[in-house]
Amino acid sequence: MEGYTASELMSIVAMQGFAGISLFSVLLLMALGLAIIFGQMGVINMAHGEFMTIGAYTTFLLSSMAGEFGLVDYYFPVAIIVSFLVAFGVGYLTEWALIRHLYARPLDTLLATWGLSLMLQQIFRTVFGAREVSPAMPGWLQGSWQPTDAIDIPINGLFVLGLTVLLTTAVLYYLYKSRSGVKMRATTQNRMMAGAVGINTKRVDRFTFALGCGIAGVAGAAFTTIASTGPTTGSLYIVDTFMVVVFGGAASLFGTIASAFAIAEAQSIMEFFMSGSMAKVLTLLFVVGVLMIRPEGLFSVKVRK
Amino acid sequence: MLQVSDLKVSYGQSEVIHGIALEVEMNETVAVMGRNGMGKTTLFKSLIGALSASAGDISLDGKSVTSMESYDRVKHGIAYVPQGRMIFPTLTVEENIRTGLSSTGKRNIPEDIFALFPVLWDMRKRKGGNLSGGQQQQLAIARALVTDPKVLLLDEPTEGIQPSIIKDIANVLNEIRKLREISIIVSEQVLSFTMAIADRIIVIEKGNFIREDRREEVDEAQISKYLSV
Repeated sequence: MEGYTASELMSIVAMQGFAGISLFSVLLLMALGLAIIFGQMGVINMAHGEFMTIGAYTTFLLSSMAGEFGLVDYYFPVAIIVSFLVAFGVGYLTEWALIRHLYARPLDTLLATWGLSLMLQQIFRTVFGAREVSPAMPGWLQGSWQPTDAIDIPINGLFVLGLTVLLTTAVLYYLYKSRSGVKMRATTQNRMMAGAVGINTKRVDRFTFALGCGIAGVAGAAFTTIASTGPTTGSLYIVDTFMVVVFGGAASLFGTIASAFAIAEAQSIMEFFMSGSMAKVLTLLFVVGVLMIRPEGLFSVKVRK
Repeated sequence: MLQVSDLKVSYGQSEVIHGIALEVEMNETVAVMGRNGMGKTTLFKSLIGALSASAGDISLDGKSVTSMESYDRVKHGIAYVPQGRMIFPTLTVEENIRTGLSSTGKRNIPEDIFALFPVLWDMRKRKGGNLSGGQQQQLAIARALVTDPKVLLLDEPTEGIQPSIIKDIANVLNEIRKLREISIIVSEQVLSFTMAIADRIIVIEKGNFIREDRREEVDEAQISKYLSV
């Protein structure tokens, strides 16, 4: 690390650290949905990335419409909500048509949802074309914030971070404080018994799955502010997302947050000093090492079995 | 209150319950006794709807619940305490009890529940999975009671629980009968426990009811023969 002065190094760490926080935000938004679907329900949803892409394309469509009416500065909050609703709706249909038949066969959900992911990718390609698209960015999301001369923090990154904090808090509140959160956790722990204490488990399952997909849709909307969207965008993130959920401990949302942070930060700070693939290899090695010592992930809920 | 007629239950091709008939009056406690593998748990699972019946009918207050799903049966007044308790281990005690409220639409846990089970009040913030076996059993009963049942099903409530707590559970069940209009069906292998709570004792063997006595007429030696291995 010769050739950098101490203050330059500080700025590098600050800026790369913030780039890491942007990556953390997207990973966490993706992983939140998957933590509910995979961590809580045990469904291996390989199409989760495509639900994010659905959100991204929804945002793109809305931005094109907003462009025609000259509303580019205002459409984005609406786009987030619509992305959630569209992904929620598609998730709801998917649960009804596909997933509910497979709760007793967790490995089969892997194949079924992988097939679904291929179909969705082809649909995106047919409808939107293979070329990547970018929605028009509202003016207030462009530019950067400079706390000192050497540090440049992009506004869109700050916005995505804010959205992530908001959504994570909402999900945590919903799961741990609301009455339907209790029903959801009871159902995912023991479906038969939840039915036998009077919970309509089919309805809860459908809503849970759709909620996870809806959150992926929001991740997609946020994603459009930092990168462009193509038919296979979602599949690029699915492996990382599973890694975050498994590393954090499948049943623990706090673990998911910690693990998204650790992985994203390690990756982006190392990326500056070595090649991107080397950084990835080191991250993966570290994750594998930790999982060998703690197969249940970083955080796990300890109770009598 | 509860009428079961010609109930048959099968796992795939093999029939395990062969046409059972059972009638339980309001405020009556019936014990179904038998060795392991005789069909007690299968019978209870089919009553709550976790297993579907291949033939026969289950009615509550004259209304057939045979084709209903579990949650709907709970709404109509059947509650279930399974073998092995099956509380939700990572939910707190309070949340565990709350799961039973969803069928009634009530917001708060009725106070008489904690009066019956004071230990659950002390433990309400703890995770259900960290309770002892006896405490988990009380939790499972409390969770079933908040659904306001007309019929309470208890599948081997004394299994794996120390003798002093077994007495407590018998006392609680008798207390519940005094407080509420409720019928109880309990499956058991411990005769002293059923003698303390049941009005009628039925013996199940290989999926059939083979003997039925009122408690006053029970010959303990006779029934023990069906229980000992």
